[in-house]
Amino acid sequence: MIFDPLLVFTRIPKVLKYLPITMEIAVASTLLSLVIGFLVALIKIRGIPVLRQIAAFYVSVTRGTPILVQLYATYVGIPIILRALHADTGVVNSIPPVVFALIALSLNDAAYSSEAIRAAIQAVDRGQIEAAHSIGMTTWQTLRRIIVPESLVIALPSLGNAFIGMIKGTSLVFVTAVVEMSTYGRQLAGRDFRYLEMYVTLAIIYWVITFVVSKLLSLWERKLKCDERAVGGGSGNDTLTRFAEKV
Amino acid sequence: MIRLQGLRKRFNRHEVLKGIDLEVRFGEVAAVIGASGSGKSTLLRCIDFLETPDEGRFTLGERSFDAAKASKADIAYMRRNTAMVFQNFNLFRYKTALENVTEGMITVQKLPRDEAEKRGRELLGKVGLSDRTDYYPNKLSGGQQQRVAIARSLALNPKAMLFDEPTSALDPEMIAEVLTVIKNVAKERSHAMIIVSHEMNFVYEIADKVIFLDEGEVLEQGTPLEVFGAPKTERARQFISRVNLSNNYVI
Ligand SMILES: Nc1ncnc2c1ncn2[C@@H]1O[C@H](COP(=O)(O)OP(=O)(O)OP(=O)(O)O)[C@@H](O)[C@H]1O
Ligand SMILES: [Mg+2]
Repeated sequence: MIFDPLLVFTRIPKVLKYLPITMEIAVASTLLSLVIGFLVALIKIRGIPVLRQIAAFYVSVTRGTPILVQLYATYVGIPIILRALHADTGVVNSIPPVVFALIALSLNDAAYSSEAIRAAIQAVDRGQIEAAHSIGMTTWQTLRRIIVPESLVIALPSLGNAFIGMIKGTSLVFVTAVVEMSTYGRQLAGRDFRYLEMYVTLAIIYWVITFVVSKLLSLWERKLKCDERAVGGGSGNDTLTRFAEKV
Repeated sequence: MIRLQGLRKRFNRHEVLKGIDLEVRFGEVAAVIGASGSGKSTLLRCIDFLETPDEGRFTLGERSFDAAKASKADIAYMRRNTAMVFQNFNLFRYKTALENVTEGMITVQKLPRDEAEKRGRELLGKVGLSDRTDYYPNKLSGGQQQRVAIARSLALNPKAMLFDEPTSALDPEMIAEVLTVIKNVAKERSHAMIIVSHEMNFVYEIADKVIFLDEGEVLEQGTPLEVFGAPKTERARQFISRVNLSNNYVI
């Protein structure tokens, strides 16, 4: 049989055992990339000299090279650099491969998300910031209570897309010797050469996950846009107003 | 008492405030009038450190400092003890009316949430919005938004309240409701109030003191009767003849 449809489904449970690793890498890299992206965005907004040039260089290089190259460069390059800095070889060798994957993925993602974060922060109305200052909120309180929540509403669609991209992007971390869902699937397929079935299996799983994630993201987005909900909340009246708005 | 001495502010080479002296006691209402571009907004914004003064001395209550060399603590003190009501309301977009009012009490004054909410409801009641506590700003009319903004400012118990053209962005039919709320606040006599307004009838009625600002200088200062009734300078006379006080006020 050239293609065994049954095999596509019977292998799903086996492959799913590696889903947690895939999701952990995706979530951890995304969180890390948000922190880096946020810092880069602040550097750009504040126009901090030297740091701004470094940030621009990093963004340009990261956007201009393939992620596979970046993963490889991280995996091979960081140990070389560490050894050159006279780090203990035993220690360098004991770094878990997943660390290289996290570094490469988050740095790659942050180069893109920093731009979305910058645009979102700058889209926050100045008047809101002045109002916060005028009631005595500090710069930090204003950032945390007003600017971040408001810019999150603006940035969420593109950050959400980046997260979905990240889930799929984890399938490349085999370069750094990490075994996640795709790599494991390929190993499994290598035993009986049923690669085609395996790739269909993987495709189905990734599709279902990204579908669910994007639904959750749009729910979250609607929750953040609390001001667009009809007032009153929860009653039948509420549905009626929403219906009336549509008509 | 709030006192400004020799306040100067320039934007690039353009000197917008040329040494302003101003004193408003607690419980007193001062109205700042003047043509567009005379520096009225800049004056208020300097007090709240939304602009950085170039020169001058600020005194508010027991604290007095050089405004050009204000420390972080000085700025925090001024911002905490003054509150600005903006022309465009500037309510926090993703916060309900109540949350707008409680934000400062919770993050700045560190009041417990339930206490802040209790006081927030009281304040919203005071500005006639008890039935709108859970509304987001975009579901409120301009007049209602401005009343929430006034409640938000009152929440901090500021020593000084600053109003920058609080009714200029409102539809005519909403102006009265906001002016009534400001009048009620003024009647309490518990803040120093500085109001920039083009509503001359309102100014005439409410102000203890009128300050006529012209090209960054205080050209005239006195009771409404003095400034409106017998302006000493030609500039003030021209300005006052252009803004029409309604006939209710025979001067
Ligand atoms: N951030 C700024 N940068 C440069 N110039 C400014 C800035 N803010 C105000 N100005 C200038 O300072 C002058 C005074 O402005 P200000 O807003 O204080 O006037 P105003 O009396 O409030 O006028 P209006 O009645 O139109 O509100 C104007 O010439 C204005 O162009
Ligand atoms: Mg102005």
